[in-house]
Amino acid sequence: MIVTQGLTRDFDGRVAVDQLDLEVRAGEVFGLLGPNGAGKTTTVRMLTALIAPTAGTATVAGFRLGEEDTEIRRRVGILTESPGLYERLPVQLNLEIFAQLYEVPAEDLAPRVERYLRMLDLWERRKDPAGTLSKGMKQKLAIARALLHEPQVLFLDEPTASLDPEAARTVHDFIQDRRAEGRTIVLCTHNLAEADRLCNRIAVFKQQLIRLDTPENLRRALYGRAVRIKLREAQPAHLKAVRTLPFVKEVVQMGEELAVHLDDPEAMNPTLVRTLVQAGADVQFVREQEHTLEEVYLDLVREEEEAGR
Amino acid sequence: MNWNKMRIVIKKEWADTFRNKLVFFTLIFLPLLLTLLPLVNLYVMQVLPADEVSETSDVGEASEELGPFEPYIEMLGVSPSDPEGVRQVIMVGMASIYMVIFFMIPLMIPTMIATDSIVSEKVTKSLEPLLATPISVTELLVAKALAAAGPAVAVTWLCYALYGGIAALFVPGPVLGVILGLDWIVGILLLSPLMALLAVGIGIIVSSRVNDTRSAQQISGLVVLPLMLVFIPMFMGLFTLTAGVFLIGAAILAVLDVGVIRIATALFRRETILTRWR
Repeated sequence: MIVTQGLTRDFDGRVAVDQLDLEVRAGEVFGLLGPNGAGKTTTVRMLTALIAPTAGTATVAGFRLGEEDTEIRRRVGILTESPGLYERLPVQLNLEIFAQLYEVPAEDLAPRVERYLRMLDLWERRKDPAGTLSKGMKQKLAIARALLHEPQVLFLDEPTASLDPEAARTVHDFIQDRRAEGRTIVLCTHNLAEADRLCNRIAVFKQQLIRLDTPENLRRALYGRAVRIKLREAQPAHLKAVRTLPFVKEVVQMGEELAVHLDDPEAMNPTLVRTLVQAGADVQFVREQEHTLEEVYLDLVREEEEAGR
Repeated sequence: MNWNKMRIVIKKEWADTFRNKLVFFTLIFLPLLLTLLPLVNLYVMQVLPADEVSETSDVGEASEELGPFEPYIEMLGVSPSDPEGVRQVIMVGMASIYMVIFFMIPLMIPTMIATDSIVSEKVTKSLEPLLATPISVTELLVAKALAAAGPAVAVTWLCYALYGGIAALFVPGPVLGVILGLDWIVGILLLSPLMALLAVGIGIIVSSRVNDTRSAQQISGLVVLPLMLVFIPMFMGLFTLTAGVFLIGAAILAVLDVGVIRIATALFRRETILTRWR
């Protein structure tokens, strides 16, 4: 759905995006993660034909960036960092204006506006000025505006920034529903739990692409798999017994817990537990060691910074 | 150019702008006030006894007293010793000065509307979603310019019609001859759209650098209102504004318009708005 090759943008010599190669597949939620100033917004602006790249090429929904920009704009929807609503105008009129600018057929306009307002629980507020809505409602209105023309690709820049958990949950559910409809979504976020929950693949990015994979593969690539075994009373003999097993890569004792790194916990855990029991250990719990996407992200960005130094 | 999209933007601009009470006040109340006050003044001059309008019956003194209006003595063919004639001279002179109001309106109103429209879009960051739609920046700029200039020109012409219509009820023929004379009809019909366009262009240029509506309006006012200085020689009686003078003025304004609109167009690019506007 989106392919970029060597996409680059500099602002008077300051490189914001450098040689970016990406492929976003149709129907996936694609996360763009990166620290502030990493170039996420610039990338989104380039891919929505708002600003031009200084080098490189891209196609969005089958149209070439820089040559078929109007066609691209017809087929993408964008939720910008701030909702950017006409605060003095009623909620419904805000949507109607954009529906017309996005060339929604006249006969579909009213039903479509109503459908999205109802979907996002804004119908009852349709006559109120947009400026009187709460932050969460404004964000939902901006999302509705981005979707009105049923775009093939939806760019969401920080969709839940500054929302309370309930409003964020509504937005998450809404994104998941759109994914279920088969829409392609590019999600820029600092909320790593959100990215973990919603994204099929994630690009960790700081001017250049650092890593691109599924959240699960990103974790595994960085840390491998590990199990945590809680013992009633961990002894050095237990540690020694585990180390004798050929499939164990590393064992670390952390209080009464052992962190055992191995490739295939499903197959190897029974042997592991049996060995510990034979060594006299009282096994209380066995669970897979989880690494949050936050740990993965911070380590990747740190590695990149160290490599840069 | 897609006129349908421009119509949508104009509709949006008006819906948004007219909800701003200050702009609405400026658009309706101020022009009305500027139109009605001179009428009141002319009416008072008309109903006052003629000898109270001029304090002297001496020809020399009267000429001196009339100052910049002196050329109208010959134009109207009246005697400076005739109080009724002097009253007419003064009324014609005042009526001519008041006509300048109809050049102030198309300078003030578009500045208010254009700066309110662009600065409020900057503040609420609503330009980015708008620029992400399939509208071209030229369509957007033209629509915004028409939305700002259109009401100003309409209000100017309406106020002029109102001024002429009410004045016709009580002013003497020579005074009405000035107000509804061909010279001023040509001047107002021709110059007000050009002045409105100039004000819009200046409003856009200033708005691109300022993030506060009031500052944008004040700065635009400082740029635009000195244009009124060109009328000072007329107030001093150095020349009379005729259709010919207005045609020359229109040509100069058209050149200025082209220059200002070019600068505004260069500033009003997707790229520039998103990356350079502050």
